[in-house]
Amino acid sequence: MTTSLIVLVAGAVLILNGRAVGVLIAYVVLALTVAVLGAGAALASPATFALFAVATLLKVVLAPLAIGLFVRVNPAAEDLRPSVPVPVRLLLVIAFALAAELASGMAALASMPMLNLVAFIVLCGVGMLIVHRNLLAHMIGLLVLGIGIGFAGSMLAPGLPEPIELGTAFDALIATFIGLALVRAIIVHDPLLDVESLRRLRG
Amino acid sequence: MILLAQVLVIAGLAPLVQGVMKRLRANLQGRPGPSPLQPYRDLAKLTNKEVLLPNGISPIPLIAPGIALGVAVTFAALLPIVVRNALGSIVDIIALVFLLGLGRFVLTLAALDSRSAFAGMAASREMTFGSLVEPALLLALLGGAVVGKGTHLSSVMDVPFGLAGVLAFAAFFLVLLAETARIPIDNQETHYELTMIHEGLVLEYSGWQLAMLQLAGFIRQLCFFVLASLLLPGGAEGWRHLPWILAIICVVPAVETLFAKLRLFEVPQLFATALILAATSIGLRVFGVLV
Amino acid sequence: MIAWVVAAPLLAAIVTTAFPDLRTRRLVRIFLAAVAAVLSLSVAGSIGWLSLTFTVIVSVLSFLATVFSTGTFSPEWGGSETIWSRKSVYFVLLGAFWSAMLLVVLAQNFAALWLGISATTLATAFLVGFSGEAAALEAAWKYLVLCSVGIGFALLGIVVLAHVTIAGGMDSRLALSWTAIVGHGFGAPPPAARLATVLMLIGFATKAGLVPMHAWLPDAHSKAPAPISALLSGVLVSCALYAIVRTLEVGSALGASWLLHEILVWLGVASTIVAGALMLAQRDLKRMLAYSTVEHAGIVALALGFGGSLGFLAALLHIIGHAFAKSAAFFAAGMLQNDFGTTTLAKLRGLWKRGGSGRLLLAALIALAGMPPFGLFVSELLLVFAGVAAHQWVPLGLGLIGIVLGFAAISRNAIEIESGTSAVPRIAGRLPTVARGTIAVALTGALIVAVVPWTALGASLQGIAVAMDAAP
Repeated sequence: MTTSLIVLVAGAVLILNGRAVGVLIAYVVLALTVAVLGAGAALASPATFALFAVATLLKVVLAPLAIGLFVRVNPAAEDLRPSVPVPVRLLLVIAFALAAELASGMAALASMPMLNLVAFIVLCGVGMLIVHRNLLAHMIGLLVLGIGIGFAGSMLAPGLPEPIELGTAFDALIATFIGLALVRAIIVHDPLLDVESLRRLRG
Repeated sequence: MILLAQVLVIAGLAPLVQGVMKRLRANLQGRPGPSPLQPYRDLAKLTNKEVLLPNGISPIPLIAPGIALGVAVTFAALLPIVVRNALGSIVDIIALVFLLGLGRFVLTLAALDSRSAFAGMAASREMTFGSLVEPALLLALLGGAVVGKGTHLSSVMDVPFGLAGVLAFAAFFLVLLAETARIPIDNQETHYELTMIHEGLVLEYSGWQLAMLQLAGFIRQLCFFVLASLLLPGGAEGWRHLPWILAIICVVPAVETLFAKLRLFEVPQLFATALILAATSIGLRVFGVLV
Repeated sequence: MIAWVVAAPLLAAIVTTAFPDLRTRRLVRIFLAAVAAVLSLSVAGSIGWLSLTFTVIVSVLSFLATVFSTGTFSPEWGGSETIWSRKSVYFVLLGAFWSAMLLVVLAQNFAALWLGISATTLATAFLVGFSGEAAALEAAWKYLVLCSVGIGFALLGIVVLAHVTIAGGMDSRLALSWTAIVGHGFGAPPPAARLATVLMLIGFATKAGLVPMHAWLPDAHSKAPAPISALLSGVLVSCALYAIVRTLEVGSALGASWLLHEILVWLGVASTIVAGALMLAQRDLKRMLAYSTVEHAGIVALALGFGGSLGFLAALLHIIGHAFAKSAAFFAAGMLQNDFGTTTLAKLRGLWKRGGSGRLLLAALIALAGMPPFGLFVSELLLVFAGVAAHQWVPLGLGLIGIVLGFAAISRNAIEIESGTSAVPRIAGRLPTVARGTIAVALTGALIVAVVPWTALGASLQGIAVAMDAAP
């Protein structure tokens, strides 16, 4: 119950908040919650626990730290500039929560634990891509998506080998760094990192 | 009777509450601020001043202060602090909302009647925001009614708190900020008539009429605080919820200091958010989810 | 052994950077690339025929792309001073790209497959934005974000699939291996299997560029350097389609067959029609070729959706033929960019008389349009037969309309480019033989595909088709 509330509030902040720092904090909270929930399966052996710890470190510490440092160096890019006003975003969060509850209530999927949390996190990640115009929000949205899928992995398929978890964590980290390098090149053309500047190619 | 004592206590404490909040706001902003007892002195001063009203007005501005004070006193009497059902079936949520609407309506008419430009502007804003705030106010208070506890004002205390209670309180808090004319909707300390909303309505009044209107405003504010505390957890007895008022008295000046006044066209977004929050809380209660 | 084969191209590229002298480095690079390509065929015994076919496509075309890049590394590619726009980085990323694609086609389970596809996205992000100009960065960003979201959904589907197979009694070590899943024999169709396979299909279809998930493809493939575009359009899309084939295989074993086939049919119809229509409006040669990739991916999806051994054979032949023909077309476009400095269609006129690049481009465009004697004609004919056999008249008709639109666009542009009098000044000297040779080899590949159905290779491919057949 408490974890559901934490995930709900963190996901809501991801969509409702308009500044990069707040969104990063919500992301870290979400990542920690998911790590704590998934830690049970990883305690099987020292090897799996070590891999799990490394993967968690990458996702919880390194990725947001990299983005946070980037924001510190380029303060103009801190505003996430949502493209829809607050009430619409609030409705979006409520719709996501409803959809996640309905999805987990379907009979065919009843065997999967915590499916509503997984679905909500995934939807919030995709929602960030839709709602915010700043490219950094897109990157954080991809990281949230990665967390949601990692959570799904630890909940739905706990028997899978941990190297997969590590592989996906490394994948997310490398994608973050590639994204940051691209953003560094884009910021020369557009200091606000607005997605509207990426509409030159059409048709 | 108990109700008479309740009304007198609320009316007596209301200016003190306003004074304390003004002092807190000043301290948060780094100023020493006026004494908390200043509103009493202001009311006493106003009763000794001459009453000046514009030429050619109808009787409405003359009776408006009385109606406003009457609405505020009735609001104070309706609150189920000590006894739940002293006044019978008029202690009703919907009746309360209409009562507040009556007060707003009469004040707005009076402002229009003065034919002053600033008062007219303030009147139009007050009506717009009022029409947007009332649905949120109604929905925030109807939490108990939708689970079958009736629309009696004490039904807000009869429902479990939970997530729905948090959302309902959040919505009511935004409504409270609007009804007590606080930042981010209206600034009580502004001197620019162009930016006034509630202050603008009473621009043309002076003397004891202004004193009545100010006292009515203070009483309404304290009653809203009591109602907000009833929405927070505390048990079935009204007076057990009263300690929450102290927290509200501290939080509202902090909100006024931390946030900036919203631009006029952004204020409806705030009310839309309040409406969505209240509607969600009602939805959660109806479907019994995460209550 | 497979791990060495997969890592070989990347190792080769890294080793090559150690040589300081330009001519030695070029020779070493081509030699090591050839070694890596041949090495990949050495695992022929331990993988199935389907994987082997795709390995051949990946190795041959990646080798050709490396040779082409070595021969004609245009200064236009590395325009600005971004951290990745250096020649050595280009070839290392190309090696990483090649290795990742090998991982995709040589993987034996979905986890390795997914890692390979994800690695291709990461390796090519900088390659797409290589020139550093604003439009290329925009293309690279869209590519990175949209493909990451797509394969994220695919990973979600893979996780649900693992849940389904483990719950159905499979060992967790083999939970994602398609041979194990097909051989397991599930009793009743597991309820969540449809969700899993549909998610995987949508994710891999994003990577293949099927409408409506194609938004990144025209930008990325038109802004990347020409040999990279060739690999992206020809080989990477083929790898994504390979992943879709494996998903179909697993989905049919888990009872999701009808749903997957229906979705593929309608994705294919949407892709052919939308891409065909948009091809008519294009003003840049590479962008038109990119939309043509979307259309051909749609044709493959249509063929897979029709199902049956005819449909599968059509899809396979089309993938092979398209890979070679599209690579040839992009190599030719790269040569045009080298010679004339532009790929804008309005500026290219009368190229037939002006040297080899125009003529080779014409041959590649004829191959892409699906005209005999090239292989795409055969595969499109088989597509029609498959559609008739599956009684899917409406999708077949709509798909044919899309193909006709694409044909019209390619023919019109081909005729306009080749005829008329040209006004574009030639900026380069003689055409490098290396580049010409590359295109010729690629086109020969497209030719060979045409005769495949009547050879022994065709018989074995038909064998795969029958083995993979699950009645829709």
